[in-house]
Amino acid sequence: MSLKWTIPILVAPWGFFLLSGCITNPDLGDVSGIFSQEFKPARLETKVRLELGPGLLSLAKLGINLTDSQAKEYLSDIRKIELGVYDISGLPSLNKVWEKVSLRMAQEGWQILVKSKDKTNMSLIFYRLKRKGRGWLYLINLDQTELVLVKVEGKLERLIEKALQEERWNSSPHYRIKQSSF
Amino acid sequence: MKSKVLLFTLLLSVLRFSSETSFGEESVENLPGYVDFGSMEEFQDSEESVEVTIKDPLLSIITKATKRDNPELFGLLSGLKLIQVHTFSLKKSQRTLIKEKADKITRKLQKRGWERIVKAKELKEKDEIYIKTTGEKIAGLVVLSIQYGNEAAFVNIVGNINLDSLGKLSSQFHIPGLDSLDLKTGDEK
Repeated sequence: MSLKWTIPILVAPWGFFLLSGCITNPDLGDVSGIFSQEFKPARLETKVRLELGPGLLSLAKLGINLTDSQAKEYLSDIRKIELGVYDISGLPSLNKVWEKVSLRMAQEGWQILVKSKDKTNMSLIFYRLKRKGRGWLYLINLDQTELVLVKVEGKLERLIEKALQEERWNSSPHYRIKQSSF
Repeated sequence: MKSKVLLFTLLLSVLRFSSETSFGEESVENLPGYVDFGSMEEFQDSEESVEVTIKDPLLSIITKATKRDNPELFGLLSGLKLIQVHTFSLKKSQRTLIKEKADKITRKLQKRGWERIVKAKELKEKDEIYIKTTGEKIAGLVVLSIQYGNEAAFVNIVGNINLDSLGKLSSQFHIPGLDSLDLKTGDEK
């Protein structure tokens, strides 16, 4: 799954944030709990957990303003970012994880936007809307050793539109050739 | 005067009620253009798999967001209620399985009055496009695109669909199977 635009936007403020030496404990809901409860005896160890609120994001926007106006435009739609990175071991097959996590997230009111997996990696993107285009986007990325959770709050429409335009729904060479010919 | 006010209030109430019932949130699953592709359990061991589901109200929000920056895309998305795409890789040994799956969906579509507008079949590839019409309008579209031993894509678009612009929608969002729709409909309609 291509996250060409989304990742730099999300990563840039974290770098800024880490350099400033401030790390807070974010509320990533119960998603990491789903992994430790549903897939026993899987083990989860926190590597990084941080949260960027409106204040720190404003500072990040100032920094990004100097380098990339487009990234700044997307960042201006974000109100809050939470990140969790975990070492994970003892999981069952990705297929089982993918189905169970999708189900549990749906039970908690999250709508699925994208489910993507290959041999070693699984990505799920969920959303939950409030009103006027505001809401949350939840990205879950998992491989055999690492779980990454990203929760973004803000005006989602432009971020989602961009993510979908960047998304290659077909990864095979056949489709790449077919698409590039138009 | 009093009766006019009363009549006006009554009229407003009726209008409010009718607008709520006409434009209230209707489940996309109940729309004529919606198709449930069913469980893909048989293919859950595929090496690669992508499912994308964009439905209202998110679709409306994205549509509105494109109005300023991309009016052409706004025109394409307006009126759509759902875009769902399932793609997954296929093994050579799954030829019969995917054929059965596609036949099952095809039978379901034909039973419900869907019209096939494209059928392209080669030794290793099969593409079919179906539309569901209500009155003069196209209310749904289904694409079944299979490359045996390689990959399959099932697409369902629900809402008020402009067939001429679907190729453009495909190039904007890389939706499989739609990119050559204009050419194919010209040949086989």
